[in-house]
Amino acid sequence: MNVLLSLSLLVLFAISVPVAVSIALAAVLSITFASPLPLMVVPQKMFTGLDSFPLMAVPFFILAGVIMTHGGISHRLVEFARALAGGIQGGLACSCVLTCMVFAAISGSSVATTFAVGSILIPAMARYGYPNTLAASIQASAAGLGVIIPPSVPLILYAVSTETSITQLFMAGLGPGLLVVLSLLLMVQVWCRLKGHGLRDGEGRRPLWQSTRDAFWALLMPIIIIGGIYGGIFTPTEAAAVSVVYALTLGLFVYRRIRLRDLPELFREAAVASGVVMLIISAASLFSFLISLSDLPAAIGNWAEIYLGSALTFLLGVNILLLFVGMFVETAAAILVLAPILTPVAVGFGINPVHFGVIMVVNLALGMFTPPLGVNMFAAASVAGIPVQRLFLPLMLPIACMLTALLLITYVPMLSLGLNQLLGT
Amino acid sequence: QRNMNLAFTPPLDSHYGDAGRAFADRIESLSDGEIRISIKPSGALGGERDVVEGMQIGTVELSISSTGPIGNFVPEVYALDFPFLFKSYESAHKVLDGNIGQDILEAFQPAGLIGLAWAENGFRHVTNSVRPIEDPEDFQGLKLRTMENEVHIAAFRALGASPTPMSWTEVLTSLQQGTIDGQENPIPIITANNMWEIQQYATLTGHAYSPAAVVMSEIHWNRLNEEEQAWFREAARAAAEASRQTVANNEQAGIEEMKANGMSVVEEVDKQAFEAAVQPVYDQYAERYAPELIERIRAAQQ
Amino acid sequence: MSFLERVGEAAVRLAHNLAAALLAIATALVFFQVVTRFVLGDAAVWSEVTARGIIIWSTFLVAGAGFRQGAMIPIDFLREKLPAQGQIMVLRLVTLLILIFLLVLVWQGWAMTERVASQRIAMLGFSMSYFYAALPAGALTAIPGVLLRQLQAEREDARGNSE
Ligand code: NA
Ligand code: NA
Repeated sequence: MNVLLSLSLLVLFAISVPVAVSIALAAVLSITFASPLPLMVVPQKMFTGLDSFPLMAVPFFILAGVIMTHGGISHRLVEFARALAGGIQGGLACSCVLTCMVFAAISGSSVATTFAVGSILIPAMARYGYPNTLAASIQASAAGLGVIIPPSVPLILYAVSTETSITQLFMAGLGPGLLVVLSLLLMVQVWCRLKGHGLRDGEGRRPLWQSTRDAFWALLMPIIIIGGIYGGIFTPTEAAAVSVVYALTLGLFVYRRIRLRDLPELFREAAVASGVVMLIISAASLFSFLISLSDLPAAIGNWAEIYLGSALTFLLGVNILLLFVGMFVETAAAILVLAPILTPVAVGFGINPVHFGVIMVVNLALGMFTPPLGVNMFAAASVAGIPVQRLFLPLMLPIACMLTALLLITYVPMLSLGLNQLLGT
Repeated sequence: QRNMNLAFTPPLDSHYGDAGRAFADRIESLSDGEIRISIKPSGALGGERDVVEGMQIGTVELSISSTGPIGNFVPEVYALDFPFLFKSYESAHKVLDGNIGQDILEAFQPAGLIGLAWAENGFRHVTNSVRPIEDPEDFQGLKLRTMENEVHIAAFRALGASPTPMSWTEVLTSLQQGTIDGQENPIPIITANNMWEIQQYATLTGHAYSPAAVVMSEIHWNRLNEEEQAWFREAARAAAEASRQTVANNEQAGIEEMKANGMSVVEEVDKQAFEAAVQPVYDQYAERYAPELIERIRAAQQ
Repeated sequence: MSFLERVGEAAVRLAHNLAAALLAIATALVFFQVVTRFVLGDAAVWSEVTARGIIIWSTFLVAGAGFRQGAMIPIDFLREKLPAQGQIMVLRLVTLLILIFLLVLVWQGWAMTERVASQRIAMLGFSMSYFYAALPAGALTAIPGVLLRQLQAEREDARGNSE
């Protein structure tokens, strides 16, 4: 059954059948032709895969992201970051990284971050004399923060499919997120100084107090979400619903960028965006049921134990596998199919499942802007209005940067687990 | 050679794991290795409701499941969830291994399930981080995580607490952060999660006895001949026995472990006061869930 | 635009609107749950289960709009390497495969909806069928979305050939 399952999945992917349908149809084919299972397992598993309260954070965070993008929040965050990065050379490019960092702390997705922040900053950077390709590649890589810094849809999916605490995973994402921010800032600074970009970045910058005041309510949002979860006021799913209400309040009454009559269209847009991801989740849960029935996880565990031997080599193998998968496969599908297989093996090697979740997500975030198929790369190229191939070369530097950060995150567990230990969970 | 899956949600290293291994060993020896049981612990095949549904349509052969989810399929099972219904382990075993337990197992069949035997989780007790619970009044205002089970929820509400159903993965951090104040579970779950790190007080309320059913899919049951069916019943009894053995061993050791880790454990409570406080639950729900059964269970323990 | 097309578009739009409204309701329910627990000190116990069912309905009802808008994320870099003639052939095959899957989901989803009729939903007391019906209903309303998307591709292809 496993052979038919994986072969048909590859063929369906290759001929461009949508991801969710490919996964479910591969399952239908192998159930029909290579198993005694009744076909009723298809709707049964597609249903139970979605019947989970923690999982409901996904549609809510996607909805919050849509509302924020339309609600004038990203614009204020950009102004704030520009004021913060100051008049130094390359300050504008740095403010792109910083805006992505703050936006990441309210959005669960990287593509949303690319569109929300990139549509303002890529044109701005072009105006200040940065090459378009450079602007787009900085944006594509910094948007990866969207899934590393909490809240994060991939971290939620990892938590749900491995029965790990979302709260702990969220806390674990902060340290690695900041490491990626620092490494990108360093890279941007070195690059700008070597190439002489960004000499006029201080021009037209607003005073820090003024932009802080303007962005105040938006800046409060991450504090409400993370503080609320960690302060014991609500669970991650409830936090997601609260952030929807908060973003709506900002957009409708504080920034007044959304009118009441715009609301139906916002919900329609969010319903499609979340439905697409949820259907992948639904199909993937059918897929992983078939995998679980087949004892494949145990077989992979045995194989890894014999051939990879230690936690260090296992993690290196995982890094390489996920980097490769991340370049081609949609993130949600990659997590839902691979996490239940790899995590028990990782735990067998003595790796903390929370740490392992962060490794998986950082890895896949890297895959999201790695050629040839990184989804953020396509998003950034489309925002910048340039063919995607022209990003391949300039992306190599942020990729190298992120790879270094990934190795540190993989082999220094304290980066991920330190905060949880400090706070005593 | 035939292969069958036995699914449950606790890890292999638990009373369910011991039950599962006992089941597998017995079937393999009775069938001379012709039938092999592949144990799927830790929710590998899904949550309990999900697996029960899977047995109905024949995708999962066997499972050990707590009674909460089964009650959605076999309402009679809810009768077992009533608070302070069972007086002791001995009387719970006597009732479940006797005619009453057998009658409830037979009620599984219309749902496409074969109830084979009653294993157990044990009596459930309360832990919290606010105050030692000695009287029913001490429950006042406590936010307690409960299972998604109307009867349990009604019982804690009758005691004055705020019952909050929550998925288990978020419970430990929610307790740590104070989103909820306490939780209720059998002792092995309390010790397995080092509950003393986040909860100062435990009270051995024994407010509900939590059995677990060894269940088989009717579709797969009907494919067995009579001799094989007898093997499965025998193996299920062995599994039940193994789980009860582990629970009994864990219970006393668990209380010692809780105390050794600095937890304040209230061991004796005035059960009658608590029973009186939850009486409204019987008045409200007994009629709905097999009132005769509840009466029979009470009479059997006189 | 033919009558059938208009009916199809209307069905997709109706399901889409419903899905959007359900998403809003689920958000409100969960927000309400926070309010009841945090402000009133007591949690509403039915809101969580209800919101779960509503999100499942929203997810499957929106599938039609997802297909119609081409938002379902295909991995299409190989297909794009083909000449126009080959591309439309592959698209037809893809549409056929999607339709086969949707029909399986309508058929088996309905069978499952009937199978769970006597199962009660915890905390709500009504039949699990009300939740499961989201699958056949969503798959059924997705069919016009898939067909209309294919029709659009066929028209664009015809225009491309005539230019
Ligand atoms: Na984020
Ligand atoms: Na990817």
